[in-house]
Amino acid sequence: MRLLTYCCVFICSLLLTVPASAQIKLSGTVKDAAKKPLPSVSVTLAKKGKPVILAFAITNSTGTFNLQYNGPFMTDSFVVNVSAINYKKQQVPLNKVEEKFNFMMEGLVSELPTVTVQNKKPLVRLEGDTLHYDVASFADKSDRVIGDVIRKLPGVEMDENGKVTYLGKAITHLYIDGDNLLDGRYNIATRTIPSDMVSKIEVLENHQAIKSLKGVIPSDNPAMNLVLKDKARLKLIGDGNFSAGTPSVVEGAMNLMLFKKEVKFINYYKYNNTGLDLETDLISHTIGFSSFRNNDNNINPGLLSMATAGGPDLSRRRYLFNNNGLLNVNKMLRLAPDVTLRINGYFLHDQRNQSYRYNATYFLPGDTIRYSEYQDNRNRPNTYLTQLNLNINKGKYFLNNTLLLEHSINDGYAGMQTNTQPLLTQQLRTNTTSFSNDFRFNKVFREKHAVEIGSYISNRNNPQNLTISPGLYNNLLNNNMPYDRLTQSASEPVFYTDNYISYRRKTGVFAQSLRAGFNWQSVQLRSILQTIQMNGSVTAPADSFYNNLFWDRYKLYLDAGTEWNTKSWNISLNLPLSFQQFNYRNQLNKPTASTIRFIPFTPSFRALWKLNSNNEFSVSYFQMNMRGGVNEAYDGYLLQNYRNFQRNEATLSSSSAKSGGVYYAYRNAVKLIFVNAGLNYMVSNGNSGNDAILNDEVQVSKRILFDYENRSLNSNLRVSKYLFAIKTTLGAAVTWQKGNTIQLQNGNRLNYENKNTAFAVTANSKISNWMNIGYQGTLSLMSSQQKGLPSSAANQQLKIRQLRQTAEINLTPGSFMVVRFKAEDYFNETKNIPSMRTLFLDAAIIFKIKKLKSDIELSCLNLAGNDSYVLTRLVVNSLIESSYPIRPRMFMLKTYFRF
Amino acid sequence: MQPKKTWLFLLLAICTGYFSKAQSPDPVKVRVYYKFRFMNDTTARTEFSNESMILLIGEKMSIYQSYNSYRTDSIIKNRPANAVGGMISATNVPIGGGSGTSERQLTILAKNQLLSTNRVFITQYLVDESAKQTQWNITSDTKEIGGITCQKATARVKGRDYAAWFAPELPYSLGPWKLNNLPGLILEASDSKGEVFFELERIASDATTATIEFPDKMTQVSLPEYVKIKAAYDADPEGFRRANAPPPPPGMSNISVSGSLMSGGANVKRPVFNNKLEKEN
Repeated sequence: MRLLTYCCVFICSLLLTVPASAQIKLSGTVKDAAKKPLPSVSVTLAKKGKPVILAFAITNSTGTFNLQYNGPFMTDSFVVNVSAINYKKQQVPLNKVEEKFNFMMEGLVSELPTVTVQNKKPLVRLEGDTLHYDVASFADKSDRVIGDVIRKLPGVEMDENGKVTYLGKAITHLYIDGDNLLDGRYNIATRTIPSDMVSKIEVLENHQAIKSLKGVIPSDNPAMNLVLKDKARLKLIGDGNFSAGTPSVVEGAMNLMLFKKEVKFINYYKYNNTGLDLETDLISHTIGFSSFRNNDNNINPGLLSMATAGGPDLSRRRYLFNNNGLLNVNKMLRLAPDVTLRINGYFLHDQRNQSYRYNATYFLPGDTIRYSEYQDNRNRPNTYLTQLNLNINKGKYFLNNTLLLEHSINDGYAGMQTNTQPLLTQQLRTNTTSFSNDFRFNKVFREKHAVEIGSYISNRNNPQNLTISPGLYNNLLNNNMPYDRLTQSASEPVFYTDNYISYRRKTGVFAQSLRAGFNWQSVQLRSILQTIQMNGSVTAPADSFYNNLFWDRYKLYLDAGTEWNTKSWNISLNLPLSFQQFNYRNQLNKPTASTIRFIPFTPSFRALWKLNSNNEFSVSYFQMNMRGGVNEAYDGYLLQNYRNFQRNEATLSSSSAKSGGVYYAYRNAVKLIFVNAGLNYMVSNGNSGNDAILNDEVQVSKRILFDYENRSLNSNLRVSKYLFAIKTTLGAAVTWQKGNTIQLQNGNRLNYENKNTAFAVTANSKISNWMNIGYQGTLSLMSSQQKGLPSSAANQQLKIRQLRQTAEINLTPGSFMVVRFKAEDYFNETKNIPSMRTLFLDAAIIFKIKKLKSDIELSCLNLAGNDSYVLTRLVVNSLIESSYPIRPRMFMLKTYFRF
Repeated sequence: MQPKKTWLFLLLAICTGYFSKAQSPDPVKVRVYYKFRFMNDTTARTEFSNESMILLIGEKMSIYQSYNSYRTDSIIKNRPANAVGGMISATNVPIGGGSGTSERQLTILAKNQLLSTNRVFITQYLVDESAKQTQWNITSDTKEIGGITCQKATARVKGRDYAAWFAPELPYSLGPWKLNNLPGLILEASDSKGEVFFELERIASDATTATIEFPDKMTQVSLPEYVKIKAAYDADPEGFRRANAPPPPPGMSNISVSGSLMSGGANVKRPVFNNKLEKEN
């Protein structure tokens, strides 16, 4: 018995001395100098030298307190703090696990300093999956539209075309107060809605836009929502601007907007001849609610062209000579809480004049071919588009139907001189009409089973006509006789339909999907080349310049997908299986049809790992297997442009690709650091290509069979950080690409290795209330080298260095005035060619007249008065030098108004 | 049976009210401005009501109320002495929105006692909420709010799980609404469902003439007593009203209302209030 007691005492004493099992217990009183007990005093326990409070107690009305902390006790590691308003703070070390204190507080004469603590709204707040950016914190006085603010947000990027990405991922929707008014054409919103009408910009990180699929299909795509201010939701907003200046330039816009819950619209008319390309307002960045990406029906409507060189890599405003108007109507009506009817339509008219000089040098083994031309061209595109959409987005089911009608006419004219042809005029007229209907419906049963049907149907016709005068290639086309003009006519009506039914099921962490469908593409390609003699009679060249092709492609597909989904993992595997049959027949010279059957295997895999709320990592792999399209089936010569005849000799090409990639993203919404990085590797194999036969006069391309393999490696790293101290968003990016291309020229197989490294830096700073600064710089290092050449062939290796810099400074010396300076600097250096630098300077002064609710702006574009820009470009083995005229110095007086 | 019970409670309530002693006005030392955001309609999860609130801290008391009511009070209090008949013109009294917060929370600092004003029918009650003190779990998370280092603590208060950020360098065990009892002023708090947000706008400690007055005329009750009164009202509002309202003047007992419904009212969408700040007592 005695032994037992002994043991008990021993065990108890053991337990008491083990630090891990200890519970810190403090108690005592707090009194003031007059021994009066003090209530509401904070007694806190903390680790020595650390500010974090571990446990606390507050004294009651008798000044006593009890504090407990469940944690290991170690001598010399804890301190007790006692603090109360108007008393001096005390700190004592804790020596025992259980201790009793009697604090006496010393009065403090000075109380809280008489200052104001201002809690500025957090710039960015994270609530669940939604990141809220406070617009007022990022906007400054010189911002006019919301797009000006979006491009400054840390973690968000907006490219030149207005496409918005968040952590390197493109946004799928841009909502206005939660409503999808514009589908993918969200530039209309970002370039029209005044920045002072928006209170918050939200990024919805894992956004499933279809409510019924929320629990069934997870999403890791971001979307953006513009949360408007109350004043923007009340009444019609009208604003606009008008400006006129020298040399005879006019610019104007009139916007009418309404953002009520039941009705929303953005309607405007814009006009300018100052170099603003309004067509960029209409770029569609996403497919919205459609489920058809149309990968199976992407036939370029333009068969013929005038072979004009692409634009220089300046901002378009510098070189575009236009006369451009855009009427845009976008209206959404809410018929019921989750039902909307929408109409989007526009009419775009333009006249673009361009004149340029073009020099091309083709470096071939043992031969160098030079080609030069001077061209004056004019294009008059007119486009009408109407789109009607019904959307029902309920928790139980979803329906989306879009009907689209588009008609566009382009009239082109080009006059040109080449080193072989004194004067040549070209006329190109294209007339494209298209219709499509896109339907999607899904319903969810018992919250886990989703059945979906989709149907897409479209029809397009695109007659086009290219006339070249005087007649070319007499020896080839007109028995060595000169003739008046040459006309190539072509049309390629396309009918396409795609229909599917799919079923998705979710069981716990697993989800399975099965999608079965078919699509059918039916095309008739007709082309005819005609020579028109001096006396006006029309003759047709040989049969090899005709095409009358009937093409049908049928595809049956069955996609099986499986997904494993937990809070931190998402792994998906897709195994699409399809059967394709191609039937085509060229009626003129091949009475028998060709039939090809093809069973591609295109698996894809993706794994996403969310390490925690800040880190995300994903790996993906896919395989593709394709046969060529209709434009590989015609075998009569088609004069694509005045110096290129194209025909197909081989059967449809087959190509395959394997691609793998990794992606990593980090975001910290408190410290405002955003990082994303990616690495992609792709191997593609093909069995045919164009063999271009070049001479100084004409280029004849024939597609022939040959095997090739291309490899490319892309990597990128982007960092974005907001520096609170200097109110600056800093961004930096590095991209690196390496790849090879194979070309056939004059029967030679040429293998090139290309490398491209680019460094980009951006900064946007609201350095003080009266000044903000923006800077953007990109340095690109590009090289192209032909493989298997001796090192002595140094001129075969081409290297280009480019530096593009933009800097902008806005000064607001008072509330009535803004002064803006902008500089754009372009630096080009090509090996063996003298380097080139072009600097553009713009300035503006804006007076804000509050009484009239309007601003008056006096601006000057191109202060330095540059008149031309020469761009040297490296396209595989050819060096192309283009010289463009620049818009002259332009003074404008502009007034902004709101009503 | 029901009205009799109600009378009993009322009698009790009035008695306790008489015993609470009058207090002199307490000069305000610190004003803390908060933004209170609340999701009224849980089916529209992006829509929040937005209200400015103020916490006034004096030497003996503190009071938390809507900023609009504070401004109205101070205008009435500071109206010129020569104003005829105490008339207040509508131009200088801001009229708060109908959906604003009318409740106030008062803390008697020496007793660490939290009192909340609640109205049942026409009677204002001062409900003692200090019997059940919030048990906070302290976490090691810290962040800066307006340049002040704050630490995070979590607790369940009135049926919701709150995360509160308190400032140890401001040793007031106060905060917005009924959130208190931390070793520092609570500068920010939100519930786990993302439906309730209290956010600091600014703290001002410059001199002011504002004072806090103890609402002597209000009936002070304990929380269980208040719950009983409220339950009695909810069970039989008509009986409660008859028992509490003054009798109508003779000849006015039968008031008939005639007329048709206002036209146009059908098109106006009424705001939905389907959410409660307090889910438990």
